[in-house]
Amino acid sequence: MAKKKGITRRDFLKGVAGAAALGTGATFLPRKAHAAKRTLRIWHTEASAVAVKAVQKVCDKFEQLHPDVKVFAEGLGWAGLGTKLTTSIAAGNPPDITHIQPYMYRSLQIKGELVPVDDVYNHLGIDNIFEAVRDIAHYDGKYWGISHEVGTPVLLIRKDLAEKAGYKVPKDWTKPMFKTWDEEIEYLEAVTDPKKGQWGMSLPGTAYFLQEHCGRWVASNGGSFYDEKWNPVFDQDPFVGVLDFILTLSKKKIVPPDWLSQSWLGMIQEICLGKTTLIDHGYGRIALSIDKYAPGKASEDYFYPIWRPVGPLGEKSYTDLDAELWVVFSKSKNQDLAMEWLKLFYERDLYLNYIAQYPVHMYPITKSLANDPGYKALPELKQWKAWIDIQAEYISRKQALPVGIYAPHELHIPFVMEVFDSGIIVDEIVSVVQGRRNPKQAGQRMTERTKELIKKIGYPVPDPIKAAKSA
Amino acid sequence: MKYKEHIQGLSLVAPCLVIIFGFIFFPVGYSFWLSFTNKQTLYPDYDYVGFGNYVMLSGEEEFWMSMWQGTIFAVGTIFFQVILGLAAALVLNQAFRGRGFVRGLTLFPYMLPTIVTILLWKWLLSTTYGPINYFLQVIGIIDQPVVWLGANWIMASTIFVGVWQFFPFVVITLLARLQTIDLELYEAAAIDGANAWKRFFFITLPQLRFVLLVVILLRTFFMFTKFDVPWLMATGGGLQRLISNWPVYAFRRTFGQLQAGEGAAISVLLFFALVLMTIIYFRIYRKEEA
Repeated sequence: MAKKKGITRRDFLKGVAGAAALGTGATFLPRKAHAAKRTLRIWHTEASAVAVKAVQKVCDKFEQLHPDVKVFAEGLGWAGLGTKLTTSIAAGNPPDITHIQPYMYRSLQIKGELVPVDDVYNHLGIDNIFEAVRDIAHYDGKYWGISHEVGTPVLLIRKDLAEKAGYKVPKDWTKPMFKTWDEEIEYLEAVTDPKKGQWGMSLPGTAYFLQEHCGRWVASNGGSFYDEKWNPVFDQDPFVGVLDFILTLSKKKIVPPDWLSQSWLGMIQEICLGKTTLIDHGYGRIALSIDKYAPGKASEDYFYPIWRPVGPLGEKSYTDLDAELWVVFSKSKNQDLAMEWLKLFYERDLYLNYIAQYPVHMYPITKSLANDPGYKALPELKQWKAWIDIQAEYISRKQALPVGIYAPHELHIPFVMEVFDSGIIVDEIVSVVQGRRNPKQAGQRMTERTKELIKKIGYPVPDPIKAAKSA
Repeated sequence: MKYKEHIQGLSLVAPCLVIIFGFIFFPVGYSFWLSFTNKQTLYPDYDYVGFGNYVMLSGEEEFWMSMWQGTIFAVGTIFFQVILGLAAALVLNQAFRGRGFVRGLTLFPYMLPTIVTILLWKWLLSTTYGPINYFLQVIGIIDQPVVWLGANWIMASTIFVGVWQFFPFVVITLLARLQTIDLELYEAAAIDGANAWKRFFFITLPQLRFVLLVVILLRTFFMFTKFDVPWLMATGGGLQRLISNWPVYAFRRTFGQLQAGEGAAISVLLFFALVLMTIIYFRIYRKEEA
């Protein structure tokens, strides 16, 4: 009988058993037999393809310098990162390095989640770092994070549409086009034309960004979210004034009617397509979107920054300081590598390559790079000169505070993160827009709910659970 | 010998028991336990608080709102899924040219990832550049764009998207049953002079009854525990409050306010609500069977 050709069932099973045995056996081999690589996990919020490439370039260089290390870098949007970060910290498995917003650092620091990055500051030279970002995370004599860039959102106007409606956009952006919120509303009413599908101003409905708007407005209205004793003050006149302002925008129908569900990108598309004439959220990264959604209009003849107006109770206008921090987690087993990676990140060529992805948005944190001819030669710095200069002016006048922080004393409050991410603020804004509560009532409810949350977290006692245990 | 057989039997079911315990009983039990504690998401330590979380939730406006909104969303989507699914199944059970293609097409929404579905509908329903408003304006049904994604319409739009995405499940299940109904029943009824409506009410519907009950039961579980649709429709935005069902609210409590104990209490309440509904369902089912 001729022998059967091919693989029989018995052969197959033998093969599978052999492979399984080999695989199992391999796990008992000494560690050296494995690839003895250490891994460094990095999460960052520069999720666009160009920025991801720039971060990857740092990682590639790091792997070249440290052949025994594998670096995994992942770009995530803010909404995704917040949740993923919370979950990973709760599970005791955070990445080695991540971006966080400055308002988050104290909350994480007090829980013992972070380690200081003084080593990186010393490497860069403390005097070499711009003062505006240097001390954001400086607490208890240590630096708990380091900004990857600095920028501010501007009030960005569609100059062509405003001029078409008979308004002059000042070339000198230090001269406000509107001095007050009332003047701004007057303009928005004048340019809104629902039949043409054109609205005065677009707002994002995303909780995170809407809170940013509220913060800028409350600071420009002479207030903040918390007083110096850490009490929430949403029920006081400056914040109630902000709620009133939002209600007016909504009632007068000078913002798109579906703004409460509008995404950040949707809002940008609206200004690019001329569906809206103004956004209060003009981060420099939008310059790239303008190239994409408004080709042929990527110039300051169409998109121009204007100085922010002041609220009825304020004296100066404020904006946010966009300066996310790199932080290193205390649970990281690779803290040494993390520090080395951060030092490499700010190495001249790599950092310039990173900043060059969004030069209108990302101003370098080091004076050395800001004065570097290579940086100064970036073409966008000329193309969007006013947009860049106005940001620098807000920063130099100290009228820009880190996102989520609306008075200097709020920077080190250890529960800002929990309140900011709780949804309480946005819940009550919606109740005002819907007409279920008036601004005063909503402000009161926001304050009560925030107080309750703060109490649950255990404040004003700094660390409730540890304090209770030690007692 | 018997003892040996016992050991052998137990060792055979042991892996399965470990998996069931590890992946079902342990997480559920742990959620129950957490719901009686003041566990904060980022703190490892916690204290026992008894029914404190439940008492606190019962006095909270947001909790009752989320229960109400979750019920509207679930009942609304289930009702329309069943009506639409039944109608579509009846049509697809008829013989017509291109039936295979139409059947495939009907299943399409169910095969799409939820994120794609939501992005698609958010674009279609947009007030500023959505084709639906444009079309309705062109044919003269509306003068001004309808704010489908605004405060007044967001719940209806979310229900609509939920129905669109999940009605194919009802179609597949009912169609499978329809294809097994004995055609002689229809022939006999036709000979007796029963018209199409009568044939539907007196033959088709009774034959579908048990499948319908199972479908409704399953859809009840799925829609009351649905997280992605209401979450993505508002994308964590201002309108989340208006379409926040219990799973969304539990998520916000756990990962927004970092109150894991309270989030667990909401989940436990949802669990008991679904258990209660199941008991009621099976009572009805048994009565029908008898």
